[in-house]
Parts: sequence; structure tokens; C-alpha cells
Amino acid sequence: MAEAGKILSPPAGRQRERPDQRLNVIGTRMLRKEDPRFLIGRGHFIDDIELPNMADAAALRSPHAHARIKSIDANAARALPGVVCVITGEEAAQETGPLPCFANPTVEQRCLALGKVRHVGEPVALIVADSRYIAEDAAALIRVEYQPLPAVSDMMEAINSRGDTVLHPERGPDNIAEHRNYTFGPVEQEFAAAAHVVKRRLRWSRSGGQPLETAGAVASYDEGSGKFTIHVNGSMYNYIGFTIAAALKVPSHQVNIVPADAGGSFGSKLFLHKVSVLAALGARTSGRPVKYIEDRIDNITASDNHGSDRTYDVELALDASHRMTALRYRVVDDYGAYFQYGLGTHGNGFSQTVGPYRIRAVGAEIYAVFTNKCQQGACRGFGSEVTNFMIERIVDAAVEELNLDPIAFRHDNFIQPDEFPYQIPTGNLYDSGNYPGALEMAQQMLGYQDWRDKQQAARTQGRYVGIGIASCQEKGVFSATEFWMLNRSPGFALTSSPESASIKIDPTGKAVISLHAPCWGNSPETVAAMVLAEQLTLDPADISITYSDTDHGLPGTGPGGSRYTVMIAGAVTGAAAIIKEKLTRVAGHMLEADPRDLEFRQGKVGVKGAPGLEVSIAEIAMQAHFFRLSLPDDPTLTSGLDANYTYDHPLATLPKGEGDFGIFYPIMGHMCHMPVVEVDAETGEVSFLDYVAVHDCGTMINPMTVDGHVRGGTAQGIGTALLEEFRYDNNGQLLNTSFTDYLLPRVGNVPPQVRIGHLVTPSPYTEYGVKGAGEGGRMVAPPAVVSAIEDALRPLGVRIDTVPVPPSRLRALIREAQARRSR
Amino acid sequence: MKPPVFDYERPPTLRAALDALSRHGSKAKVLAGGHSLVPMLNLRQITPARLIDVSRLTELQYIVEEYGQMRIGALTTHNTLLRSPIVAANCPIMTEAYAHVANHSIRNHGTIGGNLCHNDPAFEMPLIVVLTGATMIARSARSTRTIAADRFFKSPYVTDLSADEMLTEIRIPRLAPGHGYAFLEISQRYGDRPLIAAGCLLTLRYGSCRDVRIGVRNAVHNVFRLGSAEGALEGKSLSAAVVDAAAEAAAAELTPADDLHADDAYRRDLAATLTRRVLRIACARAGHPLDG
Amino acid sequence: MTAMDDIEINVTVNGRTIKRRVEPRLLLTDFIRHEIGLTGTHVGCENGVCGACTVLLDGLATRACCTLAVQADGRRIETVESLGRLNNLSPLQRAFWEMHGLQCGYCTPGMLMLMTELLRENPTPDRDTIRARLNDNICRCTGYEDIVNSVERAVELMRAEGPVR
Repeated sequence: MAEAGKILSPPAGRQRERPDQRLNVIGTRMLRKEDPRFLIGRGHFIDDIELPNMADAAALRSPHAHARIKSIDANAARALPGVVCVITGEEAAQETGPLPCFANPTVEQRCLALGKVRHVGEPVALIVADSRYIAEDAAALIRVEYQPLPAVSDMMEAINSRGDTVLHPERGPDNIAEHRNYTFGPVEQEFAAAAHVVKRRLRWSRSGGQPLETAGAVASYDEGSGKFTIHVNGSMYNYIGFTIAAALKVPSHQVNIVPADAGGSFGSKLFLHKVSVLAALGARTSGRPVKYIEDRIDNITASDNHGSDRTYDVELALDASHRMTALRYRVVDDYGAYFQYGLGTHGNGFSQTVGPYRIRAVGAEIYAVFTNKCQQGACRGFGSEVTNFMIERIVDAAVEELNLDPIAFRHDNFIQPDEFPYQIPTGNLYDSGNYPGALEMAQQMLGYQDWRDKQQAARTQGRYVGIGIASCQEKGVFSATEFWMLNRSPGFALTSSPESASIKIDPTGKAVISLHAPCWGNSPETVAAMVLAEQLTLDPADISITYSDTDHGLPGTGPGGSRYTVMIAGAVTGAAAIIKEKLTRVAGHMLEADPRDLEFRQGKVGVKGAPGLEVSIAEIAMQAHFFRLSLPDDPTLTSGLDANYTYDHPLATLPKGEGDFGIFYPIMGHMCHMPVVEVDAETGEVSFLDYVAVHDCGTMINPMTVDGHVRGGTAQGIGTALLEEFRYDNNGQLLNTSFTDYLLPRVGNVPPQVRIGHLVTPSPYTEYGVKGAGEGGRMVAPPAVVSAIEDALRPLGVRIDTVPVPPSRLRALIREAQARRSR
Repeated sequence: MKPPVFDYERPPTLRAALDALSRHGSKAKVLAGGHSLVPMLNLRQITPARLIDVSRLTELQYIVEEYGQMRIGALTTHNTLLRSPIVAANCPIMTEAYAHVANHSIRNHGTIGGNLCHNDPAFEMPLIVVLTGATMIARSARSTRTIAADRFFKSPYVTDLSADEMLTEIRIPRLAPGHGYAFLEISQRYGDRPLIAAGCLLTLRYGSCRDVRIGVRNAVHNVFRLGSAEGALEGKSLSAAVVDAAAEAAAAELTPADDLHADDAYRRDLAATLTRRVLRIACARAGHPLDG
Repeated sequence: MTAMDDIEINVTVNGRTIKRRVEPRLLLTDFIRHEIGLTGTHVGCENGVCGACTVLLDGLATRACCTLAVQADGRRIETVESLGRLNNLSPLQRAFWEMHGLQCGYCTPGMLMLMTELLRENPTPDRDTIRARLNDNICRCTGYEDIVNSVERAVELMRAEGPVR
């Protein structure tokens, strides 16, 4: 059992680069290395790839939410001129195995539905043709005989559904994917002793990352070698890419996976098993390279990456001094038709399940249910954004019910700056933080008291202006234990989540860094170049970045979980250290000096205190590459100038048994958002009058790119709060299958300005003290915006417990509140 | 999301286009701006055998001010109308509504004729032409017809045009000088499909409302002129109470309209609210602002 | 139904006249990307909502996914590739670079073409005008503010250097 509180003997850590050093490149707003190609329209996106004799594929999508497949007649489709082949689920099952699944016991998912379809849009057949146009023509000619089965769409009904509504009868008699209970700390005792208990039912609806570019793959199969080459805009190929080979029933060295630039991901391209296997299967069957790119309907209905879909019943225990002592919740999470990450999104939440507060005990009952919808996957926050919503809503509820000040209440309950590293009841560790500082900074920047005064004035004019407050955590750098620690029995209990960098300096002193995970728009090239430039005093213009395929790849878990900048900083630092050592050795020979007397300065290595005694890195590199015999004989000194480095998680431990998951997500960022909104109470429309976002992501490699993530994440969070929801009807039909009806925020939906403040509490564990920054905006904006709307409507007594809250829903709440008042 | 197979022709004149329509009739679709039609083709919601591209017929691109009316060629683009000083002078409610029609890029190519003939229940222009009492000129190879706007729109996506007819002109009568007008719409994203839109025209004579026209588009049903709301105002002198009565009548008159984005209760509620608001603005513009 | 033969079209793409035979149903996005090989114009939704496919057709911002290639016959297309090259970026492109107006780069060509039209029409738009026009196109990465800042910066650069190409 993990005891919550300050850790008296904190783990030592492996930090080499201290945060408090003088830095020349890190911390500057260096312009991005990624931009030039994107600005001139020369990105390398998956649909840009053209291979000779390439064919295009389309998937026939199921129109039913739940049905047995009785027969598929593809004769007319196959006969259509321009069609190369049609592959059905049965045929695919002879050539491929199930798709990878982290849950244990697994839930079988196939690249093409086998025997039955479990959600609208699930692929039933793959058509390979000379063009996507013809493939779609052929799809319309395929005759599938379905035997419809009853569909389950409501998560509460799913708990009790039986018989023909069960999606995976081989797994059990019901649609409960998992039902677990967790107790961290003295939950019952705290609730029994509580002076106050506040309860809420909360609903977080299903939305998704929905990047502007869909998922896709281009695959070819070399008959001469039996080897596949799969270009895909996904990640994790240098981590678990071997599972794609397994699904294709070939040894892993017979598959080379090649990354492409991704047009955004937000989690949804974390591991694109389905499109990879479909394209590869199409290539092997047809004898031609095959391009399979999801269109927008494919992506919305069958991305395998819908976000969390939860109903919480949450209770908060407080003592007589209004200190929060314990949190207890029952959550039902609608996972849709499959279960690829198991309960990972709940494990993720356990990393920060008390938020920034000194809550001593947490009890959780989790139901994961199957329904006839697209499965959940990864969506910016990976479940912890929902945990944040739960915590801040119940905090606001306590403030309201006990008539407290929202600022003072948070302040009094925060983990204090002198309590780090701090262990939370689940066993995870918060490395550093200053939550009161963030709250204070946000108040200052907002002009909090001024806005309170303006709010008062507005109320006298009958206007509804509100100030929202949310103080939330942003976990960074997941440990692989997150994938299995909630499984009943672990299954494949992997514990590595590394990141590698390969660096070579060529004979003229130019550097090439190979990364082993893709670019999602998260500036990996810029970060890697800045760290290397800092380490070796190189000009960033002399550094280029490439992306390794799996044939040439080293372990790379990739972007996600706000980990990538931390891990790249570690990997590049590690590789740079090796190169630095060699550079100083060779320079020492060239300058006839002791390497310990040498320093790096502006692209040169020279003797400390002797400005003229130096050689350029280019000169050293030339020596290192070509002049081995001119250097002293030494078996440890080889020709060349390069290094590979694999950086493992900077601080993670194994789970310790029931109730203690160990340290699995310790690099803890923090945000405080304060939106100011005005609500048109007659129409339910919300507009932003101001928005302050304070983020603590530790040391910032590039503040410009951090700000970009803050604004982008905040916009996405506003979408989650006000606009975005996948709407399934009672029969499992998805009502919004295109961007006409799944509403992404436009510029008119976001504040004209998001004013950003940076608070920096460096991590003691990462290189330079960097923390994650990619997910934060989306992880705090939803509760902040809802808090603001509720505050605006406080005179009417409106409570908001659901997101999204579009105008029709908000207006309904207002109407009900007004009706209650007039009774 | 690729279109199905179809044939295509681009007749060089209106005459040729009408001949093509008479030959192919219901198997053909007229292609104007294409920004409603092509997405429907991409989604394979329609499978016409033939597209008749009329987008280059400059003979149907005009805005002409005549005594008593304004004549607009059906293939005039939205942005041309949005920017037109003739429209602004003759029919300011159209200019006001145009700011809400789709978005700039779509307005570059979308035409008023295409918009009216498509009669998507979320489109604003059908409401405007009904409120202004416009007449539509429809031509076939054999004949020309004049159709009053309030008979042109039959039901969502259905107009009075027969398969061999093309809308060629919209005639908008000049409204009385000093008339009051207003158009408002509520949408979840500015520039996208509205949840509900409302428009109002009226004149004031000695403090009384005359020739009141109020309508809504609710994205579900056909153009809706709200007769009982108009009746609650016609001939009355203005007050907040009269406006409220009209708003209540507006809400009560609507046919239930639920869709993905808003339920019926919301639409009724908003019909009342928007009625109040457009009346307020229209009255102020007519020179008689309401008190309070 | 039998399809008719392909139709011959003549288009000018970024100043170069091109003659091709195309199926009537070929979308302008696919014509530009796959027929001509200019992959800078991207596809996001294929039903006219996101604007990632924005090109200029006779100088007008146009959703290429809502346009048939045959409709471009005899007309002038400008795509992102016409704006600048690596060693010669336009002021608008440089402004986006300076002001972090892109992250994944997928919406960027559409944004650049949309703003090219705006800046030709109005070389000194204010922030509200920029935001009103920007409402046409969706970006999922930036939250828009840096794109607005980029266009403002472009206005400054153009004032100093001359109008956008």
C-alpha cells in the first residue's frame, strides 16, 4: 500500500544535465527545422507516396452495428474492369492473424471482420483496384448477406446485456470487458470520518483526436525475398512493430516499416495495426504495391481511436477544515467493440488521480463495457484528461456546496512546493511542482479581481459573465507497466519504454540525427537539433534529421503521453556524450593537450583559458574519419564519429502488488487555466472574453513550440467542452460520420487570444529538467471552460455535469433552472 | 469518398443547356458552383447519369436594378451578391444574410440559383427570397414560367422545378423606403450550418406595423413564414408586449424539428428568441426603436 | 450506365499550360496531386468543410475537393508550389515560419492559398478581417492564434518588401 505524502528518501535518478546551467540554444525560440518542407508543400505524407504499378484500396464498411456475416458475393465486384482483387474476412483470416491487443485476456480483432461485424463502419472486405474511384465502385457491387443481431449502444444497458447482444461470446456471457475494484489508502475510514461528502454524477462523452490527415499505409511485397515494406503514418514501429509481422504471419525481419510525416495524430496514430495489415495483405494478394488511405468516413467510423466515453459517480470526502481527504468513484467506460489497450486509460488516470491535491485515499470501481461502436484508442490525455475533469468538477461542487472561495480552497488543498517528490496513494510519484505559484500567476495575469468586479457589474445589467478555474496535472513519460498493470493477469508484462537517437558527424563536421519514431507535428527535429547543438556547440543549421525504418531502427517508443521531448533530450544527450568523448580525445591528440583541459566553444574544441589553441569540429571529424594512422595506436579508438544511444525511462519502478503501482508516470507537469466567458442565456451560446493559461512543463527546450502546443491543446479542449461528440443512436448507427456533423473548432470558436504564462519547476530526473507539454492544453481546458460557464450561470443555479455542452444542451439546462426558480 | 461514374457536358449557351435538360431530364443534374453537388457525389448520396455544367453561362450572371425591382441572374455567385452595392441598396436583408452563407471560399463559386434550387433546409437564401416576395423565373426549352417564391420551395431539397427546367432569374421587388429588416442566425460554428435562422421585414406607418413578414429556417423543415406571428403584429402599434406575443406565436407555430444538433424544444425556444430579436432590430431600423 | 470517353482539358497550373484527358468524375484534388504530381495540396475531409485542399482558381480561393477537374478547363490554377522555393520563400511563407504558424503542416498549404487571396485583395487586413477569413479553414494543431499572428507578420514583411506573389 502506498502512503501518500512527501517521499523522504527520493530516488536518485540519472540526470546528467542540470537545469540550472547557462544554456545557449535550449530555451530559445529557434525557428523550426520542420517548417521549410511543409511551407512549400513538400511534406512526406502517406498519400504523397507513389510506387510503380501501385494500386489503390478501399474497404467495404459494415452498415450494421451488430450482425453475423452469412455470405459475401464479390463476383460482380471482381469482374469490374480495373479491379485487381477483393479480399473477404474469411480469406484474410487464412493469411493474417488477429491484430495486436494489450488487454489480457485479449479481445480478438481482425483487419477485416470475421464471422460477424461489431460496429458500423467496421471493414468487411478490401477491394484493390487501379484507382480508389474504381475500388469504391466495386465496393458498391459486393453483396453481403447479414443476419442482424441486436445492438447495444447504451453503456448502462451494456452492463446487463446478455445473449445475442454479447459482442465477444468467446470471452464470457456478458459485455463486461473488465470490472475491477481498487483501494488506495484508507478510503472507507476517511469517508466514515468525513465532515462533508460531496457527490456528483458526471458524463464525459465520446470524442476523438480527429487529425486533419487520416491514417493510411502503402505496402509492397517482394516475391523474391518474401519481405514486406510498409510505409505508414503511425508510430511504435520500432517498439512493437514485430506484432505487425506476427499479424501477417511472417517472421519480424521480413517486414520493414517505414515512417511518413503525420498530418497530426493526437494519439490516434499511436499504433496503426489495421491499416498496415490491410495494405500489406492487399499487396501480397494482388502482387502490386497497395495504397490504403482511410477516407474521412472510414476514419470517423473505424479509426480504432475514439476517446474515453465515461459516466462517473464520484464522491469527495472533506474534513471539518475543508481539507479533501478521500476520493471515491464508480466509473463506467464504454470501450466500443474491441479492447486494444485494455484498461490503459484508467491506469493512466491513476498516475495523477488526486490531481494537485493532498488527497490521502482513493477508491475506484471501474466497469469497462463493450458496445457496438468503434473501439477506443488513444486520444490526447489518454484518459487522464477525464480524471482531471472529474477532480475539478467535484472540487467546484465542494466549493459551491460549502460556499467556499474557489481560489483559497484549491490553495489550501494543494501539495505544497516543499513536499516534492511526492507520492500519491496509487504509488506514482510527482517529481516537482509549484501549484500555488501557478494559481497565483494565473490570477495575476488574468487580473482576477478586476474580472470579478466586471462580473458583478455585468450581472446588474442582466449579462452572464463567468470566470473558470481549473488546476490540473499533465503526466509525462509513461512507463510500459501502464499497458498491463491493470490486467487481471499481466500477459506480456513488458517494462521497457525507451527512446533512441543515432548520431553521426561526417568528415566535414555536419551532423545527421536519426530518430526512431515519427514526426506528428510535435517538432522532434527542432528539439533534437537544439539539444545536439547545445551539447556540441554546433550550429543547428549544420544538423539534419532523418527517420529510421525498422530495418535500421533502434528501440523507439515514439510520441505520446507527453514523453517525446523528454526522451529525445535524454537520447540525444546520451549519444552526444559518446561523441563528445571521442571529439575531445582526438582533439587532445591534435592539440597535444589533455582531454580534461579541453572545452567546447562555438563549434570548436579548445584548451580552456587559451583562446588560440583550438580546432574546429569539422577538422576533428576529418581526422577521426580518415587519419587513423596519424593518431596514437589505441584499440579503443576506432575510425569514424558516431554514436547510438538508447535512453530508458528516467524514473520508473515495477508495480509492488495490490494497491501500489510503483512509479510509472512521474514527470509531472501542471496547468492552471482561467477562462472568462459570457453566456447568452437565451441561446446557450458561449463566447470568450479572456483566457489565461499557465503551464509548468519544467525546462522548455523551445518556448515557441511549447506555446504552440498550449494553444492547440486548449483549442482541442474547447472542442471537447463545447462541440465534439460522436453521436450513436440506440441501434448503434453513428449519426455524424463526416466533418459536416462532427464539429472541430474553427478560429471563431477559440478565444481571440490565449494569454500564456510559464511557470518552471524543472524535473530532477530528466535531462535539463524537461517535462512533457504536448497534452496539457486538452487536459485542463474542458473543466476550465465548464467551470466558467457554471460560474456565469450561478445566478440561475445551473450545474454542468456533462461535456460537451453545445448551445442546445446549455439552453436546456438554463430553461430547467429557470423553471425550478419560478416554482 | 469519390464520385460515381457520370457523363458530362458543358453547353455554351443557355439555349443549349435547356435543350440538354429536355433531352436528359431527370437523369441529369445541373452543375453550377458545385459546392453542394460535388460533396453529395463524393458521398455517393446521388448518382446522376449526367452533369450539365452551366457555371460558365455569363448570360445568367447579372444584377440589374430596374424601376420597382432588382433582377438577379441565377448564376451570379454569392460573393458577387454579398459585395454588390445594388443589393445593399435594394435589399439590405439579403446583404445581411449573405454574411452567414457558407464561408468565403464556397461563396466564391456557389451561385444563388444553385443554392435556391438545392433548398437545403439550412440554407438562408430561400428564406430571404420568400420574405422579400420574390418571383423566380424558370425556363425550359419550350417555355418560361414565373413562380412566386412561396410556391417555389416545396419541401426540403425539393422545389417546383420540373426535370427539364432551369432557374434563370430571381426578381426581388423593391421594398418600401425606410423599411425595417433584420436577419439573425445561430450556429455552433460561424459559417457552418445554422441551427436556426430568422428574418424579418416590416414597415411602420404612424407607429403601426405594416406588411410584416417573419420567417425562420430551422435546418429541418421547409421555409417557414410564421403567419400567426405576423398576424400578431400586423396593424398593431409596437410594444414589448406585442413583440412577446409574436414571439410566442412563432414558437407555437413550428412543426417539431429534431436533429443531431438541436432538439425541438431548443428550436422552438430559439424561434421565439430570434423573433424577438429580429423584430427589435427591424423596428429600430424602421425608425421606431422599442423601449426597454 | 456506360461512361463516356475521357474529356480533354487544358489548364494552366502555376503558370505552366497542361493538356490532359480526364474522366468527368475526377476531382480537382486528385488531378493536382496524382495527375500532375503536385502533392502540396492536401485532402482532409472530401466534403468541403476543412479547406485543406484550398487552391486558387482564376485567383479565387477554391475547395479543390468540391471541384471537378473538368471544371478547371481553360482556367488558371495556383497551388502552394507556386508561392516559393526553399531558398526563396515568399513573405507569407517566411512569416508563417517566423511566427510558428504550423505544426504538422497538413493544413498549411490551404491556409497559405487562402491568405494569398486575402492579401492580394487587401494588403493590410486588420486582425478581425484575418480571423473572419481564417474561419474558412480548419487547423487541428495550432489553435489558430499563431496563424493569425503569421498573417499579421506577412503584412509587415510585405509592407517592407512589396506585395505577395
